[in-house]
Order: sequence, then C-alpha cells, then structure tokens
Amino acid sequence: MKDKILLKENLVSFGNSLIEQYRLIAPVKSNGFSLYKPVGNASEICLDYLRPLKSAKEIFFPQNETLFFFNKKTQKIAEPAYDKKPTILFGAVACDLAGIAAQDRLFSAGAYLDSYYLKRRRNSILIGMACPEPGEMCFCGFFGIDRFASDIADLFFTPFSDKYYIKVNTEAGARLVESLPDAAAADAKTVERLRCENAEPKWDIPPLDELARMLAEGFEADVWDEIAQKCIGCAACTFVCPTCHCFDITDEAKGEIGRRVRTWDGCMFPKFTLHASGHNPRTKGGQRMRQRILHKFSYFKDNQGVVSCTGCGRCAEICPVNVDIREVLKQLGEACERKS
Amino acid sequence: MDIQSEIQKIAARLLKNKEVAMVIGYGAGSAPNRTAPVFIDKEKDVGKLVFNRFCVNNLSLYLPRLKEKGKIAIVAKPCDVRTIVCLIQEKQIERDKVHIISFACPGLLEKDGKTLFASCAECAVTLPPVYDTLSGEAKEMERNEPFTDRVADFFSKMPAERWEMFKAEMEKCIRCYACRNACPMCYCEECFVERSLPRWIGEGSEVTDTMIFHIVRAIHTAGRCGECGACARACPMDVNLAPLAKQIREDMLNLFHHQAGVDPNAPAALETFKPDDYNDFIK
Repeated sequence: MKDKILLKENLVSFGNSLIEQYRLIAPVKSNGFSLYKPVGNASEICLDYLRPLKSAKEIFFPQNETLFFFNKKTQKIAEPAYDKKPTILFGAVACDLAGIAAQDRLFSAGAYLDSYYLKRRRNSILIGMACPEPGEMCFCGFFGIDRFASDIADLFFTPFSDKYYIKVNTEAGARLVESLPDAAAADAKTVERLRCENAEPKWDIPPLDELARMLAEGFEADVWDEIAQKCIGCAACTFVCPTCHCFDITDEAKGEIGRRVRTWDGCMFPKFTLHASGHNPRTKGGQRMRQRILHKFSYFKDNQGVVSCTGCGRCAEICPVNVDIREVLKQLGEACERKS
Repeated sequence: MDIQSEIQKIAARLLKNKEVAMVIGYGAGSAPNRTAPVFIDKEKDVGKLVFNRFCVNNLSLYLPRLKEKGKIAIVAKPCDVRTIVCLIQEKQIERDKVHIISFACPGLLEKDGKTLFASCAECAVTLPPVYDTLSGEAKEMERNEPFTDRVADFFSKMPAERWEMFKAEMEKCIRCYACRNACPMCYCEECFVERSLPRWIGEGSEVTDTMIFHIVRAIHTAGRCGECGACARACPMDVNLAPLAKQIREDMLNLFHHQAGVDPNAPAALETFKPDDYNDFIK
C-alpha cells in the first residue's frame, strides 16, 4: 500500500467526498474549544486546537445509550433504530487512538463481547492526525505513544508545509485515498525528520514497571488521603478521559413503557460504589482516588495487557482543583521512596 | 507587603501560636496560570501558600468536611467570605471555629492571563463583609462589559428565543457535576439527582433531565449564592447559567430584600417569614 499526499487546500473537498458515503466525525469548533462532532460539510472541520476537549470514546461508547425499549404490558422489547451508515473518525490524535485501542481490548477482545460497542466500532474507519506539539498537561510520550503514527488508524495524516503526508495502514484506508497522488521518498523523509525533531521530553514520573510495584506496595499508604484531599468528587476527569469506561444501567419508564439506558458513571463520584444494602465500600476520597489510579495502571494492565492512560492530559486540564495525574504519580513515587 | 507575603505571615503566626489546626489556602498549580487548594498544618510549610489572580476555587467548600479538625484558617476572597457567612447562617460551621484571612480582591483572570472573569467583572463586593485578618488595599477593578446588561439582554428576548438559548446551554452539559461539587452551598450529603428511590431525574444526558438538575440547583441556591462564580469556573464545558443565577439574585433583592452572605447575624432567607413577603406567585 503506497502512502499518499493531500494538499491542505484540498482537505475540504476530500472530506466532502467522504460525507456522501460515510458519517464523518471530526474536530469542530465549539464555544472556544473543539469537540469531535458529526460534520455536514467538511469546511466545519477545525484543526486549530491541540486536541478536542472530550476524547473520541463517545463515538463508539456514547454517554447515553438506549439498549432497548420495553413494554411491560405486552412483555415485548424492541431494539433502537441504528444508523448503518459507516462512520469515519477524522483527525483523531494519537492519544485518542490509543484510547480507542484500549477500549477495543475491553469491549471486543476479552471474554465479554459488547455488541453495542462492536456494531459501531466494526463499522468504522479511523483517520489519525499528527499532533505537532504536546500541550502543557500532555505526557503521552511517557507511555511511548508516537504522536506521528498509530497502528490502529486506517490512515494517518501528518501535516507538513502545504500538504498532508498520508500513511496508509489498511486496505479500507487505501480505498479512501486511491485517487490521491503517491507520496515521494523525500516526503517520507521530511515526515521522519519532523518526528525526530519533536522528540519527547523527559518525565520525572516513576517508570511504568516501578509504578506497578509502588501501586502494589502502596495500597494502604496514607498518601492517597493526602492526594485526594483537594478532590471535590465530581466526575469531570472520568468523562473527558479516553479510556474510562465505567457505566451504569438504569430503566427509565413512564407507566408500563420505557427504555433501558446505559450511561457513563464515574468512580470519583462518592455514590459510585453505594450498594443496595446501603453499604459503601469506598467512603473516603483517598479510596476513590486509589481506585482510579490503580484501575488505570494496575488492574487494566493485568486484565488487558496495557495501562489505560494515554497521557492525553485532559483530566489535568479540566480538573476544577488542579488534580494533575502526573503529580499524583510523582507524589506516589515520593511516598514510596520515603517509606523504603 | 504584597498579599501573598501577608497571607504567609498570618498563616505562620496562626499555626505557630496553635490558634488554628490548619490553614486552607491556594498553592502553586501544576501549570502556569493555575493554582491548587493546599492544606497546611505545619508552620514550616506556609511558603507553599501563593496568591495571584488565578485563585479560582472557593475554598470554603472544604470547611464543613474538615470541621472536626478544630479551628481552621481559610484564605478567602471577599465573594468566598459571603458563602462562609451563608454556611455560618445555616449552621454548617461556627463563626468562632473559622479564621477568615481575606483581602481586597483584585479580581480573577481567565487562563489566558488577560480576561477578567465574568463574575469578577461585575462584582460589587471587592471587600469582605466579615474577616479576621485583612490584607491588600482596596482598589477599583478593571471592568469588562457590564454583566447586568447581558442578563437584561437575555430577559428582553421572547420566551421561545430564551428557551432555545437555555436549551443550547443545557446541551453543552455533560452532567459531571463539577459545578455542584465546586459550590460550597451544595453541601447536601445526598443530592436529589443521585436519589434512586424514588428517582427524580434520569441519569443520562437527556436535555430535559439536565434542565431539571440546573433549575433545581439554581432554585436551591436562591438567597444563598455568594456569586463567587466558582461553579462557572469549574465547568469543563463552559456552560453559562449566569442569567439564571443573576435573575434569582435580583428577585431575592427586589422581592425579599435579601442579599446572600453579607451579614452573619441576619437569618438565612429561607428561614424567615414576614407577613408582607412577596407572595403573588401563590394563586
């Protein structure tokens, strides 16, 4: 499969050529930030921001999803209507693509196959976009995420001068760019140079293998209460996160007729673990903070083979009280050092 | 002496003399133009206290949950002091268990470091209504376009148009409850949105459910809102509910002659009844 070139001035016409056959989702400007949204015309695509405020996860795992409608009287259930038009996610940054890869493992590669997730995900094409410069809260490099490439993307765009270099990873991607000119060897070199020039800074966070040990040893550490002291218990961090995937299932009914809905939930909500008995195993902020960090860096890794943080920095970016996940890991490292 | 140095000096004295068990203040943030709440209980740590124009949180939200620690000193902007007054009125904290370190507020800036926050631009309380120690000199703030005009503009529109504007704001909400949790007056141990027996509203982001959450929260804070703007600053999606809050403020002032959090000796608005109270809404 040959890599391709698209002139930046032709991006809108390229995008519009996709809209005929696909539901195109791309970063769109919205109230001073950008969000991944369906676009009616490719001119709405906005690549001026570092990354969309929310991750791309809701495209395949929406915040609210009707699982089925029910009628208690007739004892019948009905599936909600589903748009079979395939989706193209355009302009996804590498940290979001890594988030989708983690979600894929959870929803489609393990023992449980999530049909709701899969029907959307299997009917989709991913087009990545290089992120030229990490933001002040970003640390994707810590996880070894390459901002200039992604295996999970069908196509990956890297902007340089007045063009996009298009890395073609799959047949499905190749079909979309068939009519575009092939990339020259010089173009590939330019992109490679760009990538080298943007080498990752060093992070003063304990390396991942050390972190795993610290998390195992530090389960009962007092530092969790210290870290969580300022947390106000909202779920903004979990909702903007590309990998947080906890959900609740509720019935919404009017009389006999209603629907069963799946809705995002968040482990930072004090009531997240409230049992029907009234017992709550995680009453303290420190326990909840520990859960979030351990789920990302320990449990998910044990169960799915990868950590479920992509270093996108969104949680730190939007936290009302500046809980910065990088600081949390650093504090944990310092506490473990103090102890040993 | 600048406000930051004064705050550090006061905090050091209070901790040294064991007048307070803890000082809640602002510390350095993890990136430029940000701060983070800090909890200082040792004199040697007072250097961690900072003060700048990015002290966006209303720290009084931590007071009720930390009251078992004993007397607590808090760095509070004048608007934050208004909510402390409300918490005292509502018996959530005791006046003699809190040491208020306040100052003449220069107003807060957005993360761009230039724009004055909307709530600061129209703030009328640049000096705290009560305090234990005060630093800085009161001075006139720079102002943005008058906020009240924007509220008037909203209410001058036809109902259908207002509805569309309100709906558009509501559709931005992701129901993370950062606004509620950043608000010191939202101290209910169980918020109605989380009740499941009976369930008051749907969990999802159906816009009608979102509307009910925001309307109920607005009404719940009627006569209790110190107008600190912490909710708006906490919102990741930039939902703007200022017209709603401001109109409720105006109604409380015009119809019930009540202004939240200015007098700790006055009763809370919802705990008083006067025979001549406005009651035209009862038909």
